[in-house]
Amino acid sequence: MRFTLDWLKDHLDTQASAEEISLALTSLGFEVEEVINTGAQYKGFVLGEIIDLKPHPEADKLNLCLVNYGQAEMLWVVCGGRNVRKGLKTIFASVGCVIPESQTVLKKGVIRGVESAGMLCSSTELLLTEVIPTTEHGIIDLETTLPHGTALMEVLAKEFNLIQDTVIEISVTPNRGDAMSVRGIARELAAKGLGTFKPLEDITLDEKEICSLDIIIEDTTGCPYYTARPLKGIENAQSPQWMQNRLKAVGLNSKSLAVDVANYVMWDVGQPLHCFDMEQLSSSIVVGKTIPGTKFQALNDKEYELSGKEVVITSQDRSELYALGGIMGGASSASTPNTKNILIESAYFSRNAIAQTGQRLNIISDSRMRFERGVDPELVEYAQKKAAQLIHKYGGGTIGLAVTQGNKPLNELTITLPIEKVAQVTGQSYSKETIKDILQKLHCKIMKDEKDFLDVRTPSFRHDLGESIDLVEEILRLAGFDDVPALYLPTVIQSKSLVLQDQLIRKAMCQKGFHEAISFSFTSENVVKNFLFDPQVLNALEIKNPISADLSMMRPSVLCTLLQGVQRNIARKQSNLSFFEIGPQFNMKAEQENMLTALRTGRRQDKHWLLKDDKFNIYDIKQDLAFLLSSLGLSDQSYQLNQDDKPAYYHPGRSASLKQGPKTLAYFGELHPLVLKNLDIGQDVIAFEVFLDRIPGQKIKKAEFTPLSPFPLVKRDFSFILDEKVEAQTLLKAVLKVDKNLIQSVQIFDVYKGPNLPEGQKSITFEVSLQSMTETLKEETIQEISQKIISSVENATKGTLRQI
Amino acid sequence: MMNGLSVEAWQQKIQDAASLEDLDLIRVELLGKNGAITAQLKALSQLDENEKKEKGRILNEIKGSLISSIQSRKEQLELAILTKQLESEKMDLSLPEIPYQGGKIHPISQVIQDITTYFAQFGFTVATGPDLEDDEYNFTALNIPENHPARNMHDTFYMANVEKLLRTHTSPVQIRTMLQKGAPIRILAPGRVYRSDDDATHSPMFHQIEGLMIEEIGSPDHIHFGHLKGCLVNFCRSFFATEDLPVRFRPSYFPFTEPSAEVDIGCERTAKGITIGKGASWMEILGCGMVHPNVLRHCGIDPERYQGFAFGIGMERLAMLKYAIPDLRAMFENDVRWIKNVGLSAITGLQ
Repeated sequence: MRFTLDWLKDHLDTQASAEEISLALTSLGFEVEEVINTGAQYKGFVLGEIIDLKPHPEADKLNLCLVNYGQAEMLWVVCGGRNVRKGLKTIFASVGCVIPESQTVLKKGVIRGVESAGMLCSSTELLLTEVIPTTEHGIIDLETTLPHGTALMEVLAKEFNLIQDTVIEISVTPNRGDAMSVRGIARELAAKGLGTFKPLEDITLDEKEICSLDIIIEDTTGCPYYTARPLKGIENAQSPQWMQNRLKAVGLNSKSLAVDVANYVMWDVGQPLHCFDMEQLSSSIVVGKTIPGTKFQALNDKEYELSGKEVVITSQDRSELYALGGIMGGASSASTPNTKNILIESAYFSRNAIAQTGQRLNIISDSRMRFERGVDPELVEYAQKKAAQLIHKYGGGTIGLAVTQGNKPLNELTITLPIEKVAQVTGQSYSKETIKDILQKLHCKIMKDEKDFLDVRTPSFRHDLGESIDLVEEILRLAGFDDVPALYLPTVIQSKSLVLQDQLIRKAMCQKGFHEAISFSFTSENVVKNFLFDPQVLNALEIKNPISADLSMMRPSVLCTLLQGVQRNIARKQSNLSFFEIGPQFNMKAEQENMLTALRTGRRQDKHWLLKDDKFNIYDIKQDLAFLLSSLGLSDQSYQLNQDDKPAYYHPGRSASLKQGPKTLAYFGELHPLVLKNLDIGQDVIAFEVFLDRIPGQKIKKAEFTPLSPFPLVKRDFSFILDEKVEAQTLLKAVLKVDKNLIQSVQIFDVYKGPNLPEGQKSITFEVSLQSMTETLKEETIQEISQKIISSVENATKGTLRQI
Repeated sequence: MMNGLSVEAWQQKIQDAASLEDLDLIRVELLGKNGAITAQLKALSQLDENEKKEKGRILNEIKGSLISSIQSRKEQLELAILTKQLESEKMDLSLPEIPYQGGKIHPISQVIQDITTYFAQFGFTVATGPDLEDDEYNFTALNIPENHPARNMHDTFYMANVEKLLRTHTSPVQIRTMLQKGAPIRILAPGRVYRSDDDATHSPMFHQIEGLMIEEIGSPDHIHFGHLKGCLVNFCRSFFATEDLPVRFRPSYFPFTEPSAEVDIGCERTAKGITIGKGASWMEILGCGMVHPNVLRHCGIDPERYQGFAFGIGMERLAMLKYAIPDLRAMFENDVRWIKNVGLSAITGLQ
């Protein structure tokens, strides 16, 4: 919401500067976005006249001009303007002025050996080409009787009707419809003590009966109160310059007198108005609803299809649709510069109805903004009269009688404010007198003044005061936040450990050399397809109003967006990558799964003399995953590996899931070559995904010492020939279960497939470490366990011991 | 005399031995099975008792001194060999080792961690909720009914085929937690939020932390606007490690708090960028207020009995200010050069 200081002073008697006003507005809750002092840039520029002239001794195109600029002493100035002549009145810039076009400070200079004490300006240099036309290579040429030395700002005001004023732009929060007008802002500043709020004038119109007009309100909920006033025989040309200037300063374009006046009055007091071309209206108009599916051609050149729920202004037979009530007029009934007879509409539309329609049709207008935030019902009639007065004043014609329908809503409320509540919420004890004083400054009325409470009547223009807390806020707002002493919260001793799972994961992953990524939770349908998902199955993940096709679906796997990142990095010649992300993905029912997802690609290290073939492989990511799970308190004994159950985007032979019974904790593996090809990634990628919500919470265990054995450790090697399909974990389990006390560890140290073995067979060689807590193991015991290991493995794997 | 040489001559010969092999030959010549000393010791048996005793003593002395000389010469020669060997084993230690490559933590995560750690000392614990939210939790329960103009401020993403939206703030987490746990309550809700805004200074996804503290009115834990001020002033100063950081509270409007405020911190804006601290400008960094009674009512908490405050902080701006990150969009690009550059060490928490 923009306003100018000059305009503000129509409603506020004040001496406050723009800076004081800005500070006051900020402290009142209106954030000041911008303060533009258009005149400031012309400081130091004055009217001057060329008294004498001679050619520059060194340069053909330059002249030396003696300038009278209102001071006792005249100055010689070097000028390149082609139109210089004795007696030319122009704008003179003395040394120290900042040239608006170039933003450079004018210095005393020597031009081709001759000193110049200032500059004669062109309109280009002053950014005034639209106001003061000059010829090419010419300086400003003014016809004026203003005295030498008159400030440029004054020249512009007097000769060009261009008032240089300070424009302040504030943002008005959506609860404060009452401040969406210059008058509303003035009222707030007055409450803050920055001046005296001026009363509204009484308007008496010279009205005549000029036509008969029927208005019927059918939708009294959407529009409880409607007034309209005709004017006949007006000349709807341009609005006066002062009005155009003000409208332009606040960002509104000038159209025609009637439209400008409607906009001006709305901006001035906050009541939206609309001017119809009377010739286009039937003699009886209806404020109601229309047939669903009706098309509406709005003033903004767009067509809207109506649902039938909107409040509209129509002809009684619904054949003509004049306006979308309170939001926008129709193209066909709009006033134009040729319009002679107009109808000014000033009405009270319900906030809800306007908000619903505005949101449904997605139309933004100044009118909608005000109605949905709430306007002052007490100003409906005033605004209509004010508009008639202004149009009549500048456009002539005859003012007709107003037609009024419905009942003016009473937007006033009595709220009981317990005095103690103010201190209870704010922490500051204000005296009852202070409280009353603030409320009265805000135009509230004290209806009852009891010891412990006040009954407060809210003013008609406030729609945001509904219960006692709203009044507490007003008191604090006006008293100022600085008044409230800052109190510090006491610290609390934490009995629970503060280490959060996410923090622990980050530390573990960083230790393993993964960088943390954060990517968008949405991706494109294309990427999802490239991931070998069926988008049909995933239609629950579709976003209704995506910002672009690239961000149109919630990601079904964090890998989708992580791999997009890999793609970008490789394009930038960064091909050795290790990333992890903690974030959500979404399943086909649009349920959120919180994931830790990690990937590696390329080499462990950029080329290095100590490392030759150093590409990441599947067992790297398996180790990463095991390390991470153990950091989260899950030993490799607590889950099972399953190579049959995993998503389609993994290499079918090089991926697996880790399960606890039926519950999948994680997937890991190489990504499917097709996925990589689809995403244009020309190198292998290994990855894991952990379902964080399925990781059991860590219990804090009681510290317990496991004693170390003092007896010797015995190692025995075994080698088995097995069918190549037999998984290593089958063998390991078979060994470990033989004697849980004595077998300390099993290490596979060779896996062989090749010419010495029959087709389809492999050998696995491993070392078993045995140790007792109570004795040195005897050879017979070792033999016995070895035999058991052999038969257990043979049983479980159908393999045979290989004679080494 | 032994083999025609005096003891002194033998001693000299031992000292002159040039290699372990030569030394061993001398040892054999003297002390071997058929060595000179061995032969003379054998010959002792021919002598009478007295002579045997006397000559035996002398011979054994000679033998002892020769053995000791051989041993010490052997050690000399071995040391020389080792020294030579070590010299030959010299390596160029200026060759680069394989560098340790620790990963880096994303600045957003670090900021979230810093904030949750800071507020933990006042008894705040972390609460979470879903990114795909119900309209009810994201808006209605937060005192933003349908048709409320504040909904326009949110630029909400909606799902096409399920009745969900992408949460526009992490405030719905306070609703979920209050419904579940009631009051009193102290929580922080960090997380991803979404708004359909996409330009140089807006990202369609960003991060927020919502804080909520509700206590019983009139109890020793009673909290009011003054506590909100103190709590957030201290937080700003602690976060930016600037003891005298100016902090300004401005009235504002959020449907879910009343009174509501926006908080600005002091800064200096120059052509080089923004410096946090005393300066001519202000920068908005968070929104806050006393929880609106309607929000408490929606969660089944009696606003006559309980009150408290809530605040919401955008993580991106804090991270950009604290870690001098110029570009918002780069936050979610996952350029490995970027994270190496601005990411934080898991050990030191430093860039």
